Amino acid sequence: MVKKVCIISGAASGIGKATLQLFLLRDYICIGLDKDEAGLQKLVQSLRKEERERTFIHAVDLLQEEIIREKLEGSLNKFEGEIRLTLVNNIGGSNTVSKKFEELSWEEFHQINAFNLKPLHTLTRLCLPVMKFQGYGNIVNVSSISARKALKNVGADYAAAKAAIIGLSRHLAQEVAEAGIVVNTVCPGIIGTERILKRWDNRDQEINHKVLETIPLNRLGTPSEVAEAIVFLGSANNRYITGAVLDVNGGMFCP
Amino acid sequence: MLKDKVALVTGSSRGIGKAIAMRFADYQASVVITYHSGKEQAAMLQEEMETKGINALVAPLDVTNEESFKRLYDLIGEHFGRLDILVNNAGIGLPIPLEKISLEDWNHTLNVNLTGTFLGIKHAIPLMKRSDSGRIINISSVAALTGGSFGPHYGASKAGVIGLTKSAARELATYNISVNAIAPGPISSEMTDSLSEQTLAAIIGATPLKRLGQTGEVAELVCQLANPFIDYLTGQTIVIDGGRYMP
Repeated sequence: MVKKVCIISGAASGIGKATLQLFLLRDYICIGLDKDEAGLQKLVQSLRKEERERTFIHAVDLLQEEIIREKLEGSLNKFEGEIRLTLVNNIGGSNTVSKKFEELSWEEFHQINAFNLKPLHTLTRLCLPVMKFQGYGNIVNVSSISARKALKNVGADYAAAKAAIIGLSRHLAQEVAEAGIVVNTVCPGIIGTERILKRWDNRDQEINHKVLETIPLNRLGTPSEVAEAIVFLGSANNRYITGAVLDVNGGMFCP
Repeated sequence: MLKDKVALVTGSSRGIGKAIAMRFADYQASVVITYHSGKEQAAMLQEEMETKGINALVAPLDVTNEESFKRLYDLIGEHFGRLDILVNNAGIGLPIPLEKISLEDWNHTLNVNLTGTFLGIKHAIPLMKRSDSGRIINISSVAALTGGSFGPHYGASKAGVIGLTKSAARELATYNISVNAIAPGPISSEMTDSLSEQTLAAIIGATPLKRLGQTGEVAELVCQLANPFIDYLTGQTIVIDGGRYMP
């Protein structure tokens, strides 16, 4: 029997967690990576027994290439025979307070770039040999509306890192197409994850009101709405969309 | 996923439209099939669906005719009382070089591909307001973004569909109706049969995945966009072309 396996970075909360849960519903074996061990444990506890048996978690610092390599090679070697591997490069983020470009040192700029790009680089290079061997693979990279449109309250460091993901995905799509691997990007708009909602609830509601006015649907998105888009592009049903960018943003930006 | 939803697919007696209608049936939606010339094919499709226990309605539709659309929506209103999903798929593409396009060719292509989509959306609104998550999916083409093998009349009509999609998405967001477009590259169907072997070989050569798309692949994308759990996706154009054009 063909095993469907999905690896998700940043799986302990937000979009990553919703994505893992949705892949479980679609009968995938899921491998969740995150440095938040408590969050991962809590996620596993919330699953049904049958789902828990298909879920593997690794609490790791996603910037530590060697450690990820060790943990994942162990996990991937467990699967024998034909597997359909999906990789969701979801982990990313910015500093809570975004600096103006002039105040942004190279070190700070580089740090945010590394945080958003290094796990993607490590995980993708780890998965490609397996995907190539199988002649089959789906990669979904999670970028952001910040890569598509200049937003207030977002720094150039984050915008640059997320835009890099789009360029990288497009190029990779072209490089690995003949091996049967499709690569796509999802750009979420403003999504009501626990983290965002905390920030959202604790600030002047007038600011929130102004933000909502820029979204035709007049509300934030939910993690599960983004997960639906990721799962579609990343599952076996998608064999012909590659190099595409899918914006899930309530109409906030329509390229 | 789409059980209890009512989906209308224009131009669904054959090609991509038929594949979309069939995929909706696979997902247990009720389906409205419309045809322009393929009455028998549409009837056969309806019969096939009914044997699978799917509620299928079939009706003639000339997308360039406002009265024809009004009659169709009256019928859907009587039959189902609602409409959740509209797929503006009916379209034509006759490869003609710019200098040879007559005003008649131009108007006809614009009428079917663009005006037909406008009329479909406009008259669907009253019924779709009754749905808790209305979905409009317009079939554009990658030719709208890159130019293409069917000529400028076709490209212009399909580009118009994208502009219409974005404006409609903004306006209809109030009613929780999402509006998106799909831009397929060449999909193996009757329409690509009209292209020369040389043209097809060039297209495949320039496609990273090295093949044409299948109608079922477009149909699956349409159904995913119709998924009621993905309300937040609106105003977008999704390219499905094997990586030939990556905007």
